[in-house]
Amino acid sequence: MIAVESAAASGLTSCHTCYQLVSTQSHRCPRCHSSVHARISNSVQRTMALVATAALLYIPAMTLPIMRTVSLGTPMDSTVVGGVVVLWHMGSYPIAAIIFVASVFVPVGKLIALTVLCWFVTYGKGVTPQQQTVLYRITELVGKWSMIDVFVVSILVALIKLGDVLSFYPGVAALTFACVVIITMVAAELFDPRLIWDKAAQHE
Amino acid sequence: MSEVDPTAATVEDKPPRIQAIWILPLLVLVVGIYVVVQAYFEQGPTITVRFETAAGLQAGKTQLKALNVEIGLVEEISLADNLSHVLVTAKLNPGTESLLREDTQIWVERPRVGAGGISGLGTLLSGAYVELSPGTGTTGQREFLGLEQVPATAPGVPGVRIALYSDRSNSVSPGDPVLYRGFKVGKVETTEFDLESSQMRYTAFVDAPYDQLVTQGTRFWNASGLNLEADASGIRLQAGSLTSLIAGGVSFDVPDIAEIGVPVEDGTSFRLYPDQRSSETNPYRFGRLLVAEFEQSLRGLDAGAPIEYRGIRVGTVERIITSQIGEMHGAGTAIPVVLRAEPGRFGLGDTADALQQLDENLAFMVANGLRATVQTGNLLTGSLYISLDHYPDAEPALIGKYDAYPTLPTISSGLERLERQVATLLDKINALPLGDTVEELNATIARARTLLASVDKIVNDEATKALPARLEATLVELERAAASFAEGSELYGGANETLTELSQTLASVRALAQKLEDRPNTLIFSTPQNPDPEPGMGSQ
Repeated sequence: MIAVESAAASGLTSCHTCYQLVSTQSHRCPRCHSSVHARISNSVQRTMALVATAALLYIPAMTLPIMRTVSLGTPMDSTVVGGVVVLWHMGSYPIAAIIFVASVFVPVGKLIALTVLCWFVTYGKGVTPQQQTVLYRITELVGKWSMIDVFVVSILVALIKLGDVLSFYPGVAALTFACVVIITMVAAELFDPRLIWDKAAQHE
Repeated sequence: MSEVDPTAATVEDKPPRIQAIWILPLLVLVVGIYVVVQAYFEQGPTITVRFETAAGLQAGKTQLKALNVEIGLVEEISLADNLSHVLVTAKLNPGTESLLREDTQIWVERPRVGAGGISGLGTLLSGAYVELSPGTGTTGQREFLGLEQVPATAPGVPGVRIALYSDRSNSVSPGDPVLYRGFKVGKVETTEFDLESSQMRYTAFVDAPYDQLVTQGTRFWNASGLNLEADASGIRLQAGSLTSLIAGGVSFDVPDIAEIGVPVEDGTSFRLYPDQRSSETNPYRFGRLLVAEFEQSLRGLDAGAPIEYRGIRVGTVERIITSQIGEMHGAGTAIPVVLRAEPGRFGLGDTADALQQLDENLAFMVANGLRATVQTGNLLTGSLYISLDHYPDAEPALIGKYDAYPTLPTISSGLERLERQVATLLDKINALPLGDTVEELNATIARARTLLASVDKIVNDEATKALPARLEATLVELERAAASFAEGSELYGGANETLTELSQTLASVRALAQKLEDRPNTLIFSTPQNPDPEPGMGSQ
């Protein structure tokens, strides 16, 4: 692996707003006058706080009903996992798989990936920055698909209103699940991938 | 590395310290814990209801409702261990504890079509739900026995709940009206067949204020259907209202001959008579069961036969105990008959106290010769009845005991008694020495005949024949002798003269006797001569 000197090591940093290279000594961008930081401040800690929040919210999102179906006056609450199981038993394997991936695999994977990355940039040893970068890329990629459940619920609730015959109502889990997705997105944004390389440079 | 590390200076310019953003997960945690704790402590009660079947119920879907307000959800439906019933576990909303009382009734509301109307139509679309009707008892009950039928009357409704029983089903079904003189005052709630007593049992509810009409003297009868009777006085047709004709119903009233009594309490039991007439003929509730043992044929005596005291009905034959017919008994087994004597018919009133009075009266009457007899009621059909009467010449007896029943002493009577007397008479006649008597009689007759022959001989004798003529001659002589004493005859004149002389003699004897009385010395001294009376010599 070729050691590449970072911009910070050369006394330069990039403006967050207009990407103008400015000296690390100046606190203002000479072009757009926005505040300049070499790295996102307290990135690891803030990311971890949001990851923890998302993880806590994920518990009710999974256990509480995400949607209430009232069919002919009989209400039926369904949770995400319950819905996956029902779809699987009904033979709709692809849909079951999609929902499982979108609502269980992706959020959980994202939370774990962010946690692992934070761990590496703080204490990590023996893992190459390249591997960490791959993990970060994957995190970025899958994050876009995790709102599927919330979309399904909101579309059903909005579209199908047949009174006593068939109606859908969003459950508490729909709200918490949306929060989980949003908070993990923010957490991913707050994680500064440059820390991976800073760490590598530090170890050299 | 240089002494000044630009990375360290720029990237980690501040020592890592606790960031404000940690408030966010903390907040979520606190809210989460609060919600969980609140949910735990504000958890509604969980109840278990036992049903015969879970028809129409679905775990997690079926709701619990009270007065159509949703109060909970069925959580689990499971079979009982012995597969005889299902256990429905339901979770109720917080704050519903007050609905769960001792006498809370729970049933499944399904569509029902009955004579009384159609109910639960709403559940056709929405599906069945579990209805809960809170009672008035103590709270805290968590296990319930679900009702299979919708209770006709909600608990707490003022009125009186009574039990009815009858020997056969009278086509009375739940929801049928209870009528008082044709006006609906309540309804039948449940019907069931009681195996132990082999009777139909009904419960009926009479709403306030009509519950005051149900008194101790009340009689219930089945008001459904038509009643056609034909007898010597014509044809009678009895029919209730059209509703009761189609749907059936129970009527009640107090028969004229019965006492009204006081309004009854909940749970009082009444007999349900098949029709109004039989309810009036059996108007007494209290009766003393007695046993009378008869040593004679009871052919024609049936349960229901009347018991009469000098022709006035006082009770009914309940049954004839036949279980001991085969017992070894030299003179044949007496057959016990269970009698029901009703104090109300004795004029003692239809109360429990009157039973005691009846016992005392019967003991006294039995000691004074009251006996039960079997009498023929109808010569054509041979039906019998029990008659009570006094037989002062009967052997003394007292009220005894047969199993749990007091016994009445009996005597055979009626035809049976007559038969016995005739038989005894014939026996006596049979026992007479008729043969000897006839022989003796024959001998006597023979001797009499000889006697008559000798008499005949005497009569036909010549001397006997001459007897009248000689008798006549004697009489003529007697007549002549009598004529010589007649007036004017010689004998008569002499006798007359003698009698006159005798009379004169007696007169002089009387004069002598007079003189001697005046002067007893006359016989010795002569009688002094009295001077002759002179004129003018009298006193001056």
